[in-house]
Amino acid sequence: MIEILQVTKCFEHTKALNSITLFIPRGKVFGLLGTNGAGKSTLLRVIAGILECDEGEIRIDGATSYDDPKTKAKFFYLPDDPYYFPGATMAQMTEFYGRQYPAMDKEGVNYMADKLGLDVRRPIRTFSKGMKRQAFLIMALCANTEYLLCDEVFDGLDPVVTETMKNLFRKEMKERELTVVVAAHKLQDLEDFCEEIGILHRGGVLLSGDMREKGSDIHKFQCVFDIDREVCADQQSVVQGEEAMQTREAELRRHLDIVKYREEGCFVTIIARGEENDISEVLRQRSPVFYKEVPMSLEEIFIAEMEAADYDIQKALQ
Amino acid sequence: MTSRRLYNNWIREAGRGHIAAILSWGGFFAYFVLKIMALSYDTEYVFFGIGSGELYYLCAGLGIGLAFTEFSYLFQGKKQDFYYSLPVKKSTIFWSRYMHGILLFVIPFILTQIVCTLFEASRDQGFALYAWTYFVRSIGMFLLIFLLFYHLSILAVVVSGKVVAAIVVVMVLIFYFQVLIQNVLQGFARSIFQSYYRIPVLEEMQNVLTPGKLTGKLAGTHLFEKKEVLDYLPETGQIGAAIIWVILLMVLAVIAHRGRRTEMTGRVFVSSAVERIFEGFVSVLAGLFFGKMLMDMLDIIGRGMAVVGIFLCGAGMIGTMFVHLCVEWLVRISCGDVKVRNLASRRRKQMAFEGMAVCMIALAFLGYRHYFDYFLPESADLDGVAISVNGLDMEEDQYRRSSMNQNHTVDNYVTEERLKRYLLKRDGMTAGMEWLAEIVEREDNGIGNGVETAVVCYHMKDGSRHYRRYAVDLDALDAFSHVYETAEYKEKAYPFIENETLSKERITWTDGVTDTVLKLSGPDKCEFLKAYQRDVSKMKMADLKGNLPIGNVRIDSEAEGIHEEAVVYSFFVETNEFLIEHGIDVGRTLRDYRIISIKIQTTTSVPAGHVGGALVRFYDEADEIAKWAETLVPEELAIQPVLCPADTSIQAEVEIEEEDTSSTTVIKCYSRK
Repeated sequence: MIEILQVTKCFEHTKALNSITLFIPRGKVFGLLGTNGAGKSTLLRVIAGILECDEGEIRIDGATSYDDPKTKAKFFYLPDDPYYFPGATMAQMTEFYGRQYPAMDKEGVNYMADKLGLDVRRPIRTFSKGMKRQAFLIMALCANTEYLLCDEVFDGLDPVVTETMKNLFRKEMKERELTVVVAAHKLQDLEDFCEEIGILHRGGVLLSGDMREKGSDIHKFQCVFDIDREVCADQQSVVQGEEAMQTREAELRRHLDIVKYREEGCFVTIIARGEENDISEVLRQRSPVFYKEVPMSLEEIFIAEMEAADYDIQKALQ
Repeated sequence: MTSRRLYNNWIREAGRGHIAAILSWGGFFAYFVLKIMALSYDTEYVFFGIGSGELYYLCAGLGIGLAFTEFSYLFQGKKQDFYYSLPVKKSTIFWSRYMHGILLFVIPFILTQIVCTLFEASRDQGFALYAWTYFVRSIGMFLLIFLLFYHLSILAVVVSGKVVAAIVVVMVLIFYFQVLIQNVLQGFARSIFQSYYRIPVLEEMQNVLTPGKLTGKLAGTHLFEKKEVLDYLPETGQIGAAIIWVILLMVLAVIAHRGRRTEMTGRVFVSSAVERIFEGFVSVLAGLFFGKMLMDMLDIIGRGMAVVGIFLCGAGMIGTMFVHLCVEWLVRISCGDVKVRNLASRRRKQMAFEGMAVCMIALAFLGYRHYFDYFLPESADLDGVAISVNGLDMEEDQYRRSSMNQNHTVDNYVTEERLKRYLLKRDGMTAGMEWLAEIVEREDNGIGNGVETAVVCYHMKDGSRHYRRYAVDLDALDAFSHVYETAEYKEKAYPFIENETLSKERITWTDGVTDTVLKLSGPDKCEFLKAYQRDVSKMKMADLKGNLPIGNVRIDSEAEGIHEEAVVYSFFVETNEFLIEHGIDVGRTLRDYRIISIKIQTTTSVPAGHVGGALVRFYDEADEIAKWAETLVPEELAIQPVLCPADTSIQAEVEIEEEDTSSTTVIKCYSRK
C-alpha cells in the first residue's frame, strides 16, 4: 500500500502539492486525474523518490521511498517521455533494467515485444512515439515490481495502441497482484481502466476513491417544462416566457444543491447533489411535462466535481 | 543484502560513458604518439612528465571535461529522473560517477607515463638514473593537477542547474582570485601607494589561490633545463596548498550535492545560498574592478585623497549594482520572472552590503596609504635591508630594461637580482637605514619626483619582507655615498675583494675590445688582489661621477666554479701600477686600435603615431673615425648610467682590425655625453 501523508511540495513560490493525503491500496489500478499543472507528475515523482517532499511523508509498504534502494526496488517509474541511453536497443535497456531489478523477466520482454511487433534489436530512437511507449511498458511490466508508476502513458496515442497497452496492463493484473498508479489529464484514458481515481486540483486532492461510489450522491435529471407557462410554487402565480425561465432556475437553485444547470429551450438538464427522492420531489413540484433521472458517466462526475470546485472545466476538456 | 546487490549492480552500470572514455583515452593516445615522436629526436628539451606544458593542459582539460561528462546527468532532467528512480542511492550514483572519472584518467595516464619512461630510459642513459623518481613525481604532481580541476568542475556542476552556468562558475573559480589580487588589489596598491613596488603577501596569495598558477608550479612548466626538470620537486607549501584545494573542493561538492534538489535542474543555480554567494563575490569584484579601471582611465589619483575616495566609492557601487542586477536578471530569467521591479526589489540588503564592502575595501587602501608610504621598520625588528639604486653600477642595457619594467615587479629581474646582491646586514644596513629615514621622512617620496628610483626590501626578523620604491633626487643620490662607502656595500658591489687568496685562477684583462691573459704567479695574484682591495676601500662614490672604468679584470676558475669580474677605474692607482708592471697598457682606448669603419645609429623620439626616428650612417674616413673614436666607449664599460651616463641615443658598431691575426671584430659602443 502506498500512503501519502500530508505531503507538501513547493517549487520556489508555487505549491505544487499542498498537504496531500491519499491511500493507494495494493492490487488496484489507481488513476491520478487532474488538469495540466494539477500536481500529478509531481506527486508521481515524489512517490518514486525522485523529488523529496518538503513536508509529510510517503510510505510504500510502511517504508519511506526517498533514497532507499530497497523500497525503490519495489516499484518501476515510467515517465511520459522515458529516458534511454543514446543508441540503445530494447534488448540493451532490458539488460540494464535487469541489473537494477533482479526479478526482470527478459524472456517475457522478448515474448511481448514479439507479440506487439517490436524489434528488440532495433535502436529505440527509431521507434515511433507509440512504439516507444509500448516498449517501455513491456519492460516496466516485465520488471516484476510490486508497484508501477506511470505518467501520462496513454497521452497522444491512437485508440488502437491505447487499447493494446490497456490490455497489457489487464493481463498482468490478472496474473499477479500488481498495483498501478496512472496519472492522466484525460478522463477517457482512465474511465474503463481504473478502479479508483484521485482527482488533483491546484496541488490538492479534490476527491479520491471509487468514482462510481462517489457518484451515488450526484444525480442527473433531464426535464421538459412548458415554455409558455410556469407555475411558481411559492407564489402560486403564473409568469410568462423568459421571465419564467429565470424564475425557474432561481427557484431550483434555491432548493437544490445544483452542480450543473443547462437549459436548451424547454429541455433542462440538471446535475445536483443530494438524495434522489428529494431532488425528484423538488422537480415534480415545478410541474414538468416530463422528467427522468439518467445515469452519469465517470466524466460527468469528474466535470461536476471540478465545476463545483470553481474550476473552468473547458480547460480540462481541451 | 539487497542494498549491497543493488549497489554492485549499479557500479557495473556506472562504467558506461563513451564520451568520457573517448576524451581520456583519445587525449592520452594523441599525447603519447606526439611525445614518442618528439622524444625520438630530442631527449634534451622534450619532457613527458614534469616540465611538459602539453601534459599540464591535457590533465587540466581532462579534469574539467571528465567532470562535465560524468556529471552531465545533473543538467538533464529526464536522465536525472531516470537515475533517481532506479533502486540506487543518490550518493552511490554520485560516487560511482566520481570514481569512474578518476579511473578513466588514471589508467591511460599511468600507462602513457610508463611507456614514455621506458622509451626515454632506453634512449638516454642520463635519464635512466632519474627515471624512477621522475616517473613517481610526475604521476603525483599531474594527478594532483587533475584532481584539482576535476573537483573544481564537479563543484561547479553540482551547484549549477545549466551547463552554461557551470562553465561560468568554473571560469570564476579559476580566475576569480587572479583578477582580484592581480588586477584589483595589486592595482589599487600600485595606484594609491606612492612607494609601492611589490607586496609579497599578495603574490603568495595569488600563487596559492589561483589554480592555474598553483598547478603550473606543480607541473614545472616554467622549467627548461633538463637537469632542473629531472630534479624538480615543487615547494612543500605549494603541494600542501594544492592538497587543501582538492580536499576543500571535494568537501564543498559533497555538501552541495547532498543539498541539491532535483527540481532545480534547469535553473541557473540550484539553491538560493549559491545564488547569493556567487552574486556577492562577483558583484564585489566587478565593483572594485570598475572603480579601479575608471580611476586609471580618468587619472583621478592626482586629485586628492578625498576626491579619490568619493570617486572610488561611487564608481565601485555603480559597478557592483550593475553586475548584481545583471546576475539577478540572468537568475530570474530561468524562473520566468524578469520584471524589472522585482530585480531591483529583490535582495536589496545584499546589494547594499556588497556596495558597502566595495567602499570599505577602497577606503581601506586609502586609509592605509600613509602607513604604507611612511613605513620604516625599527632596527630591532630588522634582519637586513636590500637596496637597489637604479642606474648605479649597472650596464646601460640593464638600466634601460630595469627602467622600462618599473611597473612589472615579477619581470624586473634586473632589480630582483640586485636586491639579492645588495642585501646589507651590518654597517651597510645601519647607514642604509639612516639614508632611508631621510627619504621616507620627506613629504612626497613617490616615484616621479626624483631623478631616479631606489627599490628597497626590508628583511624582517619574523621572516616577512616589505618592499618599497622611493624617488631619489640628486641630494639623496649624493647622500647615498654614506651607504656606498661602507665596507659591506663595497663587498657587494665589488665581490672581488671578498677573495682572500688567489692561486689557480686565471686572471684576464679586458679593455672592452681585446682580452689579455695575465701571466702571474700565485704570490703575484695575491699581490694584485691586495692592491685592488686597497683601491676599492679608498674609493669614494663621488669619484664615479664623470669616470667610466678603463677596463675589467676577470677571474675564472673552472675547478672552483669562480667567474668574477672587477671593474678598474683610472683612479685605482695601485691596481693600475700593478697592471702596467705586468705589461698591460691600461691607457689603451678605442682610438688606439686600427678602426676600419664605424656604423652610427642615432635614435630620436617621434610623436605618437609616427614611425621611424632612427638614422644610420657609416664612417670610414680616417678623420671621421678619429673624431668618433674620441667620443665612443665600449658597451661593456658603460656601467654608470646615473653618475656618468652614456648617450644611449647614439649606438655604434666599431669594426676593428686585429693586427696580430689580420682579423676583424665588431665592438658595440655608446657615445659619451
